[in-house]
Amino acid sequence: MLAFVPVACGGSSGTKTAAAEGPGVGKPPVTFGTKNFPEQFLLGELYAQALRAKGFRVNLKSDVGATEIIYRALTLGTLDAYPEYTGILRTVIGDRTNHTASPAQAYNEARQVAAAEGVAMLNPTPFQDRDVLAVTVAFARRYHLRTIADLAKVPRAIRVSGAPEFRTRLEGYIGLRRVYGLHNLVFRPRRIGTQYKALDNGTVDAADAFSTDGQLTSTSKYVVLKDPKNMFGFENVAPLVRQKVLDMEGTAFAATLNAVSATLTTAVMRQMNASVVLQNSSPATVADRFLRAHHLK
Amino acid sequence: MVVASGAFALLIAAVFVLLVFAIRGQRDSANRAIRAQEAISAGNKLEKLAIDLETGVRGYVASGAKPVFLQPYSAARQAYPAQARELESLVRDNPAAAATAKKITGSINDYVDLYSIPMISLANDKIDVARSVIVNGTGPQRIEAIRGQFQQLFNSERALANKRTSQASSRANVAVGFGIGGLVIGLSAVLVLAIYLARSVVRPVREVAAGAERVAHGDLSARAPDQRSDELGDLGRAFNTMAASLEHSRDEVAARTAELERSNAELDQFAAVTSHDLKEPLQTVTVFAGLLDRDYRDLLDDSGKTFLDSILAGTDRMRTLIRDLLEYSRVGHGELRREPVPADELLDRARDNLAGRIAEKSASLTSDPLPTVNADAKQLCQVFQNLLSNALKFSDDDAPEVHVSAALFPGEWRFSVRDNGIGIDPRQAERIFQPFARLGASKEGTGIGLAICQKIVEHHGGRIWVEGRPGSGSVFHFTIPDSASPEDRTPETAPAGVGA
Repeated sequence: MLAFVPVACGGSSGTKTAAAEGPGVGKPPVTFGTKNFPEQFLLGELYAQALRAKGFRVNLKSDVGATEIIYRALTLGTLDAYPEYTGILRTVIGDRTNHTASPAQAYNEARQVAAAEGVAMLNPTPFQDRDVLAVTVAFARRYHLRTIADLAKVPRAIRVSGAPEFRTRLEGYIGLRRVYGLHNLVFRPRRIGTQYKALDNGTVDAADAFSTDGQLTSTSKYVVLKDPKNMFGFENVAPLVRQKVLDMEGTAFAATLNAVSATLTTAVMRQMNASVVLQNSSPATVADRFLRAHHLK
Repeated sequence: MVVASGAFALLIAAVFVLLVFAIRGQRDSANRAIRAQEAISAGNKLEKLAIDLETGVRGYVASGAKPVFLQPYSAARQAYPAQARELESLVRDNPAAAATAKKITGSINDYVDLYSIPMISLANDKIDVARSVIVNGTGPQRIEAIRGQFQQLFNSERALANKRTSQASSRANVAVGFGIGGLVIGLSAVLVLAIYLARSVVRPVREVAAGAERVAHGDLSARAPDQRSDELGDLGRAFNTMAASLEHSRDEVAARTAELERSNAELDQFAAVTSHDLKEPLQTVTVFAGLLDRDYRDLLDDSGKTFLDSILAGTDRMRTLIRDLLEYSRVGHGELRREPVPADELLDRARDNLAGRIAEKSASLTSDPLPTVNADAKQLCQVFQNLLSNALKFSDDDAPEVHVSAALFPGEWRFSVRDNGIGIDPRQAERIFQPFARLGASKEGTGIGLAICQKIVEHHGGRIWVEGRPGSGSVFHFTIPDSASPEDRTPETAPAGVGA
């Protein structure tokens, strides 16, 4: 899962061969990438399989990297499309430091950031995958923690884990200090996905996590600290596609991706994420099952 | 035989073919092992290039985007596609490795396109961001993954090379096994063939040879197997025919010899018997003729006296004849009483016996010193006496000269009695040794003396012959085998007289 998945093996067995007919037949192949964590792998499979079902040729490149890298690949032309989060795009790429009041605002600003570099942002998903700060139930009880602001009451240094890029992000370590005024934090960089283990064995006290993480469907072990100041912003997903590619692939390309995005609610995503992360189902299989159930394949 | 040879040739051919296959297999496997080594070497180079890519990117970012640190990356990025193609080409006959090589190429391509290019670009714009993102460790992980794929490829190549090698080696073992088996079978076939040959060819030939050996040693009853219908049978039959013919001839000779001996013996017997039986009536005639001569001679006229003288001469001659005949028949019968006798003494004895006639003829008898020989003294004396008598008989009336000498020849003494008599016609040389073969006008003797000499000499194992021409005397030679071994005597130690 952590390695690049080769082109030919990008999908499940059912997606290996392109559909014999459909609007995508005869169109140039598209390189569709994903970022470096399980939810992205799942999104990659959902979009890629739906496109292939319409006859498009898709090289799915999972696990390309963090926003900074994958977006750079997109604008450099080594990648044609990938699913991105609205808030991340506007802050990490667009360097926006203002707080957004609503998902729509975040989406519009992100779209402007992308458009400025020749990248189209398609329709957003209903679900959001925001960064959240999670602590163990025990840690929350001990220090009576409910919100991120409560961390200031902890009378010792708090070890916070996050992906390396978390350190330089406003919707990350910088925001925690600046927005909530927390000065008792120590940053512990970790690969995404390993933070729950770190929480379990006490290596860290708090961890950056995603709101759609499968681990969070059960609240018995972890507590998500509330973010009353919306520091982590709004994070709906929308596929980014290079405008040039979009023009070449025709309207059915965007329509197919939009149709998939429209079905992805938070509940659906948590369930599918849990299947992948907690039950070790392959993203391709989970996506295939979901698409068939929604007649998108 | 033809079938055996054919089978043997087939066996050799089969072993040869197997060995050729084994050698080819070994060569193929060696080539495969070399290609695997080349592939691994090419893979190692590619792997190093991949590592260069990664360390280059990291060095660039860590150094704060200093262009000099990008050099290994740039070099590796330029070099790797060709290296990847070389690797793929080297492993194209190994499907598993070929698929892995393709994966590796794809992974490196992805690493370059989707990681290193965006990362370097990011470093150029936002070095801090690039530094924080690179901590993710994505790059090293990807390279690690690629190195894992390399390991997989190397293992696959090594496994294939090992498999080929072990296949070739087991094939070679099979071939060697067949070779050894073939050799053993071949040797067995040769052995069987040799035994067969020995039985069917060598043995019959050897039997014929053994038969020939027996024949050579006188066993003419030897026969070879002759049942076979081939050339060996012909040989056996030819041999048997020859042996049978020889045996027949020998039997015939033996029969004739026996017949001859029998008739000789009968003849001797007859001579002895007749001589003896003749003596009595002859004695009667002699006595009454003597009485007639003494008491009634004067009553006879001249014619009667002449007739009476003829009767007396005839009886006298008849008596001599019978005596000599008896003597001749006696010689050669019974054991020889051989003893070393000095020939000088024997010659003297013979000379004494003939003293009257010698004096009568005024003969001169000389001799060289003679050797001692192993002989019957009485008989050898008889030989000397007869030869001397013969020499006196056939000499001119005035002063005959007789000389006796001896010389040593290999294995025998040769005695020579030389006279200056009337000589002899060489055409008569053989005839004179026959009984009663009187020559010329001589009226002396019975003509049996030389026959007796021949009989005695031959009885001693020697020979007798005569040389000479009419009018120039004759030489009688006879030999007596020398009893002393040849080593004991050299010409220098021969009797002194020989050289004098």
